[in-house]
Amino acid sequence: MPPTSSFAIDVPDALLARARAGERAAFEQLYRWFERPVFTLAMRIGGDREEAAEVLQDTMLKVLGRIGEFRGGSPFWGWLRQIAVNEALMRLRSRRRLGHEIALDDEPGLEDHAPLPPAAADAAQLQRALLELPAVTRSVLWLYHAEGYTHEEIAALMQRTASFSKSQLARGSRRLRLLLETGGPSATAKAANTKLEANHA
Amino acid sequence: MESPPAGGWAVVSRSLASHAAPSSIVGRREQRANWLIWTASAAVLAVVAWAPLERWLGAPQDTVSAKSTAAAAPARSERDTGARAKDPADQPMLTDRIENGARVASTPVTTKVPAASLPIAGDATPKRPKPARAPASSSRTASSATVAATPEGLQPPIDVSPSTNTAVAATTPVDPLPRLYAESAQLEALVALARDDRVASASGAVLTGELDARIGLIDAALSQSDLSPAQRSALWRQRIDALRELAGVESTERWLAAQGERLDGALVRVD
Repeated sequence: MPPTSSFAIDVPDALLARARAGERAAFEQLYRWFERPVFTLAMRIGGDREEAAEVLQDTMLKVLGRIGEFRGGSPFWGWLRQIAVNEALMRLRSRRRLGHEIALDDEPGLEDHAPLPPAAADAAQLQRALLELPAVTRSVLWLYHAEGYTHEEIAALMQRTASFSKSQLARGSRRLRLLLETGGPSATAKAANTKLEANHA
Repeated sequence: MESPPAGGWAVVSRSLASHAAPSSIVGRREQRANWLIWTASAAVLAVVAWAPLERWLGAPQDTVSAKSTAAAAPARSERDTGARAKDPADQPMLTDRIENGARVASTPVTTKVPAASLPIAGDATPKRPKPARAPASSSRTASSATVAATPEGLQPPIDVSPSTNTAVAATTPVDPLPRLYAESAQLEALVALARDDRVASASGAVLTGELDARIGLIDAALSQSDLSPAQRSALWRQRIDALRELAGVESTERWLAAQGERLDGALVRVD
């Protein structure tokens, strides 16, 4: 069963019409509805609260400024989410963090479908564990598991291949499981992360 | 989910305000449509007002009576803004008349008067002049002249010095009804010319429907035989106001249609 995105909020046509007409109250309502999903996505991808707040503002300004361009052929939340993802990834690129991912090895077809350990139910612990992952790996994990993007879609967003997305997902999932099973970032995981990021710097 | 820091909306709201209206296609089109509506309405009203104004300017100035009737016209500018102050003595009766008329008659009664056959000299008023108030005490008589000197039942008596305004107590009674009939007929002709169902929009149809209904109620009230001259004049003025609005809407729709626009805002396009 595909994951249910936190963005999947059904926006009434009347509210959209009011927003297109430039009604400030409609803008605010859209902002309130989507600020947490956008901020959460930005946090998962960027890993930094200040950056995530900036991504939220940039995203909502773009959405509200271009709302007349939304033609209604797909859910509004999907259109908004795409803008949010693009903003978050653009910020990663601008900070040259898009090259920070778990190194690929030569194992092809590395799919990891094993469920996360029970510790994943602890949101705070999950967040801490995710922050331990490299930005790109974390982004792939979040986009795939939480937002339901396919590997092809993730590849297009990150200007990589679908194989890259699958590999990052597999390795990221294993790393995350390890972090959660050990109850936190192990010294080994920390060292491994530091080494990997230094290699890509 | 993560909670964003507080105050985010305030930042976005300020940014939106500083960038003016959002660059939405509908926002720009609606601004342009509003400008066109106002321009078209002004043009229509100018056309409507021109003929009587021309007659007024060309007619020999029967100073007292002509200027006394000017007091009736200013009511229109206040009607437009909805800031009309009504004579409390008349207003409830007029409302009752209209309501009774609506119950009594289901079809509008329209009195047709040949537009060009009515003497306007000495009686014509500029349609959109600056308000020229008549002293209430001096203009209130039993005759319709007093009715002409004050906006019948539509404004409270205004105590204005005769030296600054032109109405004088001893005026020749002038019946305003023929002029009102003429103006109403002109507006009906204009509406008939401007109306074109092929270019009607949903919003326009709603507006014209409501105005048609309002005119119908007024006509029903006018059909009652026991109206006083003051009440009849007031109803005719209300009819003229409604016809002006209707003429404006119909003309605007045709104008917009000629420009490829519609009275409605742009709709969502579904690919």
